Amino acid sequence: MSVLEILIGDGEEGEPGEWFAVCEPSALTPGRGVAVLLPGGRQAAVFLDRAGVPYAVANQDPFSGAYVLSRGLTGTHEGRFFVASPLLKQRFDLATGRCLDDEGVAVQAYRTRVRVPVREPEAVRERVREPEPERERVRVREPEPEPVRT
Amino acid sequence: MTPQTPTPTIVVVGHGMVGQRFLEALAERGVTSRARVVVLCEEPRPAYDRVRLTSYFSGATPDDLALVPPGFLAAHSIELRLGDPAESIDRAARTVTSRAGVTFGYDTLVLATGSYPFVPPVPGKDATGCFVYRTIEDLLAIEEYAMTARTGAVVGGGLLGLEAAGALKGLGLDTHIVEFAPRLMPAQVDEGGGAALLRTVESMGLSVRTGVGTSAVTADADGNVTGMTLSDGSSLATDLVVFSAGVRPRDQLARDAGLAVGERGGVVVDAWCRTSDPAVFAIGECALAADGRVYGLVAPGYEMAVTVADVLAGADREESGFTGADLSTKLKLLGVDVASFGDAHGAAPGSLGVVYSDARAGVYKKLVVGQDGTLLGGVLVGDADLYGTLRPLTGSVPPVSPERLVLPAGVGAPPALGPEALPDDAVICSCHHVTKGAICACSSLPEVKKCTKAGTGCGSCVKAVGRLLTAHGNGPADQGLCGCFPYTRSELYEIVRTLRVGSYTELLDSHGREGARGGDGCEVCKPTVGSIIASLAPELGVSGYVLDGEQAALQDTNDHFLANIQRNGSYSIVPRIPGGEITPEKLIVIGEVARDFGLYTKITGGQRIDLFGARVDQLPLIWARLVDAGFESGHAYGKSLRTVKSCVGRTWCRYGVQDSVRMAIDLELRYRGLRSPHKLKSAVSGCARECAEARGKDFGIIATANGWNLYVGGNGGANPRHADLLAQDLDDAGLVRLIDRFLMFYIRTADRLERTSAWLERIEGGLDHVRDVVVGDSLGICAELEALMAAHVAGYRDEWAETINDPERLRRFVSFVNAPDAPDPSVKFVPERDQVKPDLVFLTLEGATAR
Repeated sequence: MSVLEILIGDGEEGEPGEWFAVCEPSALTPGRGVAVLLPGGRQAAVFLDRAGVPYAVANQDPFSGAYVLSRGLTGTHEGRFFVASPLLKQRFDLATGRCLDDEGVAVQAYRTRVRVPVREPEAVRERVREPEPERERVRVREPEPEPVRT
Repeated sequence: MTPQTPTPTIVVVGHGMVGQRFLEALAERGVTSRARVVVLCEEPRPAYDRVRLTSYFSGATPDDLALVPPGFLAAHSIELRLGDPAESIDRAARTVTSRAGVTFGYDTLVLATGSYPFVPPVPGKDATGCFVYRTIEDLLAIEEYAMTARTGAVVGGGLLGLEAAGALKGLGLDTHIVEFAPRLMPAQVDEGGGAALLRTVESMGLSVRTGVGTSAVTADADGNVTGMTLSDGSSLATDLVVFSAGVRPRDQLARDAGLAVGERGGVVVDAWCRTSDPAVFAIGECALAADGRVYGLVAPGYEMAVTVADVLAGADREESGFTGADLSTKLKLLGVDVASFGDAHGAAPGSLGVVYSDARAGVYKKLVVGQDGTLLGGVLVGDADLYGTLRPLTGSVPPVSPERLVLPAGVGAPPALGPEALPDDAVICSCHHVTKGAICACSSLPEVKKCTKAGTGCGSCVKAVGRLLTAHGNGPADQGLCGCFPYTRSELYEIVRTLRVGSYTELLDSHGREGARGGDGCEVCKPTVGSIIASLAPELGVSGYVLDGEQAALQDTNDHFLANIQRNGSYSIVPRIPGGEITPEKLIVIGEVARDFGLYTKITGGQRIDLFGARVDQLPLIWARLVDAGFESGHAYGKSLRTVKSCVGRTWCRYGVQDSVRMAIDLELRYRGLRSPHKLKSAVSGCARECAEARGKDFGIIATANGWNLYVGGNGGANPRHADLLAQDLDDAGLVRLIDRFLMFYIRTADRLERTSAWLERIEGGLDHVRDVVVGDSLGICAELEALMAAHVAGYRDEWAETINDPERLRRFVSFVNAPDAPDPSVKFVPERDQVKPDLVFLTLEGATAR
């Protein structure tokens, strides 16, 4: 039985982190989120994109304080998979946690993986998806189009 | 992120409109993520819209006037201290001490203290019953005192004075205005404009004294105001006095700190709003700008706020900071349009006036023109429609002669002055100083608002922006629904209908924009396409149940949980009560359910009952009880028919001419569950007295002696519109047939989130065209529209009854996927007025990081 897991408790203090089992991936509908209760009472929002890749961020909407991001609609903006808060519709990049509509705001993004059992009962195959580091605030300059020949 | 760089502190003194704009500008530039920001605010409430202060008296609540978006301060870690103004500045130590005695160190100090009302130093000015007009608290005090007063007097006939007078009048007082200058609004309008204004103001029952000053306020033995003595020796009996004789910059704090201030007040600043101390800035009405003026308008204050934010963000500012601003204004005072712009008084040497004056209608228009025909400025009283066109043309020779511009519509040829006539550097949004060029670089109104902020201030330019986007644009404007689809909603409807596409992903991959195919769509097109598929479900042969299969991922959370999300993440429930008719037994069930689940109950405007505060895991339990008692979904969560309101009608009412309740119930049951581009509301009135307010609805029915009149395109809300008569004296069957056609034609052709009112105004030919189509069958589609509606009616099923009977569908109604039995601990309530309300204090932002 496959299990979707997210990495909790790692980070600044240098703790090793702990993979936390959420549910079977089949419990999720692609494009739709679910809320997860974490140890200590925190909450995460877990999503599958159209290809079935899992993403996880903190469930609390930083604009309202309500724990609702798991209930937002998802989409793709310039190649980034995002969720839009169901309350005031701000969008969050699900890979980085960064708010796409207010660059000063972000939510925590979690690493996710799906453990898939193989032949031998103990062995597991892991597919890990790392949250991406925040992109530097560098404005990329697009190459200019070639001058039009007249 | 660089670790351990000491965080600089920015202290802002004052949280008015300019202070708030400054905070937003800091956040937009990312400064709030690098600096600690502390705001000291004297008033007990966060920044609000002082420009619209008077709207409090026409029903706006203090909350309506609030300027701080929910969550803004928390999201940017801004510390706001309400009711705790700055008391002193120690520039040597770089600290500010607040009234509460707290001392804050600063790296940068920004003074946004605004101004205070000037009260002339006359005897008696402090008597009980004397007020100023500046804050919400002032208004509350005036409102309370006015309850025991019969007469009120306003000292000052300027802009604020007229607003105050309008407010007193609205509070039911006999109102007098006393203005020292020889005319009303002396700073903005000339003599002719003042005369037009005077006539209109007097015709409203206000009495006006110009050319006299106030010598004293008289009071009785208890110190309560009894009247005023005027400079010509006469007296005026009044119970209440409002001083509105101008404002002065609040610069005492700066004076005490030894900062340079102007002779007539105002903290001296340079073009970058820096005071004589480079660590201290001053913005807004407390600042004496580099051009030697103190600006009392919000737009220049906003510009100063942005200037300082740019400086603090280290941006290279090509322009030379803030060196002055346009003083043009357009206002509606006491219901009269008043505008002045540019050189309104004709001060330029050799300037000429072109005047149109209609004393009877209270209209006065003057344009100031240079020798060569250049438009220099103007005054408009009573009809300021042309303000938006004329102000940007100031400084250029208008394409039409000035005489043509001031003549009323219908006299001679109307001036063909659309947005095309404006130069690119014409300022369209004066609140945020956005030019036509900047607006035309955008392709949609939301984009304009987001990128330029135009239209987000007073909102008066939104219409002009809309016209610019459609009329101008760079080539044909992109009318596409969103970043995923190049088609409008109605085009997508046709694609889905004719190609029988029953799946969102199929539609995205076949008809999406190049870059969007294969992706996950977006939050705009998903519910839109979901709604189109639901509307056409019987025709497409797919399930109309909104929670099935791929449809599930397309729905907003409201449709997903068949309830309405509220600010703390709980949901509200509205059972259908067709026509507003309900038996005592059913009322008792609602009461029992609300009591048993601890729900907050409130009567809605649509004659239903809203039950608030349910967690997702409670929804099925609540609905099991409601369905058992015979209730069904009220679709308050959907873009669908809400309610058909009714008056009690002929059955009981002595005036009624038809059975409005029965018709309302029939219509509500016929159209329940119909998915549409936006919500649909309806009402049926039993006679012409219109107690059901049917003309405020998308489709409203008013009984006549011969049958029914059908009105369409009405709306309440922010843009009220009375519905237009589509057909009259219909019999029952004729009425239903016409509504069937009307609704299906709307669903087919309207844009996303376009109510029938906006749709009627937008579509070519308007009401006449719609009447041709649905009454005259000019397109030959009426049979098809009726068949679609018949399929909807036949296919209707109650979503909640289906949900609670299906274990698979019930699986989603849990708070947590990994703990299905655990209730969400973040949904908490506290008591209020014998019921509950969300415990918002509980929703602190511990889980999120605001960088």
